[in-house]
Amino acid sequence: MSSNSIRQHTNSEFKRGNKSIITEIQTEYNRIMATNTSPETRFAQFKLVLLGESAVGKSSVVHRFVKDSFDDFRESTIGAAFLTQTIQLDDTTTIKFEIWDTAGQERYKSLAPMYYRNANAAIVVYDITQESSLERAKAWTKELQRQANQDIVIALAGNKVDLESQRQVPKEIAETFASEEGLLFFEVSAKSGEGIKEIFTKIAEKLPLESQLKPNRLQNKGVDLQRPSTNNQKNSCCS
Amino acid sequence: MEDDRISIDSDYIPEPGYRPQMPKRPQKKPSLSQLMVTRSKSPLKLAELQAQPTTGVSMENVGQEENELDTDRIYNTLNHYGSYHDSSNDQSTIRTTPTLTVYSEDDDLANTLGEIISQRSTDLKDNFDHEEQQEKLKGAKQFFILSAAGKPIYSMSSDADHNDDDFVNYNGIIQTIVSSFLVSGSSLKSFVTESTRFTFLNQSPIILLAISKIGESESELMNQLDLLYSFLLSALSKPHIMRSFENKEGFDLRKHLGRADLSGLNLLTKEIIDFNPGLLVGALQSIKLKKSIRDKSRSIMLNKRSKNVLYGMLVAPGGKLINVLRPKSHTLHTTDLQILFSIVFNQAKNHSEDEELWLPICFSKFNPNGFLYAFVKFVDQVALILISADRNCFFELSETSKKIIEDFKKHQIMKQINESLHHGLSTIDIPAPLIYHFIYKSKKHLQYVMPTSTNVTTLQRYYLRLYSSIDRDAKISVSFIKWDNEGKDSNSSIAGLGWVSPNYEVYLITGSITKREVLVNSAKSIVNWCKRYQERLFVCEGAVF
Repeated sequence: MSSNSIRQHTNSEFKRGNKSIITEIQTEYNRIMATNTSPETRFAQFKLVLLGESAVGKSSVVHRFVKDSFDDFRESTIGAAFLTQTIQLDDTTTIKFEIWDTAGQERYKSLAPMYYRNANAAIVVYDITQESSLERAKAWTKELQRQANQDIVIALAGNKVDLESQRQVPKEIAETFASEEGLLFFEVSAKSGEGIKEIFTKIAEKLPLESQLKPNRLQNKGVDLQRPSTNNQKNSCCS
Repeated sequence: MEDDRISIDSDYIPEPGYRPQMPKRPQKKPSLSQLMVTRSKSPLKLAELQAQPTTGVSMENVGQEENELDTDRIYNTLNHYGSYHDSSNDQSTIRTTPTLTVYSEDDDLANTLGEIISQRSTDLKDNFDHEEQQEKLKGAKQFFILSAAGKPIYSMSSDADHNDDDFVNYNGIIQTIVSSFLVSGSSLKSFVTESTRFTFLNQSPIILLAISKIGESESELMNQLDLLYSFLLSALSKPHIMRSFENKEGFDLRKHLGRADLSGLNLLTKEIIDFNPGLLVGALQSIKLKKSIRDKSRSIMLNKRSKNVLYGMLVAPGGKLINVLRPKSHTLHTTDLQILFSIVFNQAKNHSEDEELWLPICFSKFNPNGFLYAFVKFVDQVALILISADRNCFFELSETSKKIIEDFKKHQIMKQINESLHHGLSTIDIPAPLIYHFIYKSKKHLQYVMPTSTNVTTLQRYYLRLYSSIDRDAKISVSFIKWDNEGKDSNSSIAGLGWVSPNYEVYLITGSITKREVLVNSAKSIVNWCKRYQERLFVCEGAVF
């Protein structure tokens, strides 16, 4: 994009015949290109799984994050859905999430290990208006701590803060549990969008970025169009 | 599905106005009466009836049948005919004898065409008032699923919190029916009151009950119950259900059913009530597609198939089949696919193209004891489904789907499919211009086609009547029905023809011309047209490996 706008400038400056400006722009353009290919640009890919009781809003959280949309009448998920989303963590870091949005229903519980087995991160969602859903979230947390990757980053997310008047789970209670267990903690609303991006950003920040770079680069060959450029891959591979 | 049908004796034609004699066993009259709705339509006068004999039918046969009545026969027959709230009075049906040659397949299409008056069908829309129809259907049908111990599992009004008004309202009645049903241990599957038919499917530890006032026969309701039962199996599998009730007769199966399952059952019952012809005739709808395009999609699916792909399907919205990939040794059962497609397109509502779904599903007609895993990806609303027995091969199937879709796009297949969906199928395409609507089922392919622009809900009662008037035991059976004084215009009448042969079934409805001969000719035209273009209309070979 930046190169396009610079070319436009270049054209208009041409018409004015101001050669010194053109030279300046050319220099700036080269500088930007050089920055873009700097070895500091990083790309990483993480597997993330959403778990939680049925109807707490896991799919809604994912859809707010991936498509920035919300549907009041969402069909309950069967099995699981797989989605991806790429975020720009900072100027030099791009993170691609591979997301498993699982069905909350009890009978799919036995399938869950399939989705969290290799996960780098998990969001355990509960509904602040349903006390039982926090209990379920606690159970998921224990299971993850027992059975998932040792270094998995777990976030606890209380959804539906737009329904404050129906709140059953005081924030402090969930927050205390989260800090005792070393979880990230958020209260969010998939409906309003409040807090959704933050979950994913904070998770990305907490993930061990460097260790992810090499293997993911290889796995991800030729798939992600949003990757900054082909050059920086090689660079960061060696970094 | 047809194999499972409980056949009923339908040779006997009751005299108009004849009312069923109730069987003794399940009788609990005071309670049952609560279920009934007062008859919405006053019976037509006898003078308005018109019998329309079909070629070769001897009325004597009908008389003879009547002399041979035994109680069971009366009972069965009345089951078949007695329940229409407005049918036994205003329609008459004559079936052909099995030996009747209805037409010669060598008939020149041109001759046939010549016989048909070249006149467009008058617009029947006025005759089929949608709202009125919907109103009539409200409360005209109910489904209940319960455990053998009488615990509610599902009714059409069930919601996620298991608030279940219908069960509360009907509980006494249901318990009475079920216990008399169970105590008698019986072969009783269906009985009928003046306006209502009750049909049970005992799949212990699950009992399913259908209550219908719209004139369906026992076998039709039984098929619908089987579909609902198959759906339960698709979600839970048989061993899961059996285990749940093991040593716990009073188990509440709703603990194992979630919102998704209720939504799935609601969708199926809605499809039944809004009339999905595929559920009636036991076939899948297919889309019209150039043979070259269908062949190309077939070879792409075959070539790109990876080793863990057991089945593959390309399906348009509404569960319309585009192509199938399957191993030589396994076929797919219509019911399993109807359920799969219903689930897939229900999920499609909130999933977009960049999502991939991984659905565990038990194909109960294939193997009720285990799960298969369906990978689903949507491309231009069309679903590519790849099925595996291995729950861990999602990413393999995902890669396979990418290759298939890439090739589809390269060969403009999606574009052709979308064009076909856009154009649909119209009666204008077929040289049977007087026909308002038809359903043609190819028995060999277990697929059907029908005009796509008409709302079939309004035609439900006509098709139901045509369908149940067919003698399923006969090799060839033709049924002609005329409904007089239907609709608002007192001059209008509606006629229909049902025709079943070893290779196909065709049902058609017309409004302007009700002469039997013309309808037979139109049916011939439809049959000839469907045969001539069968490679475009149906998935004939599929991708078999």
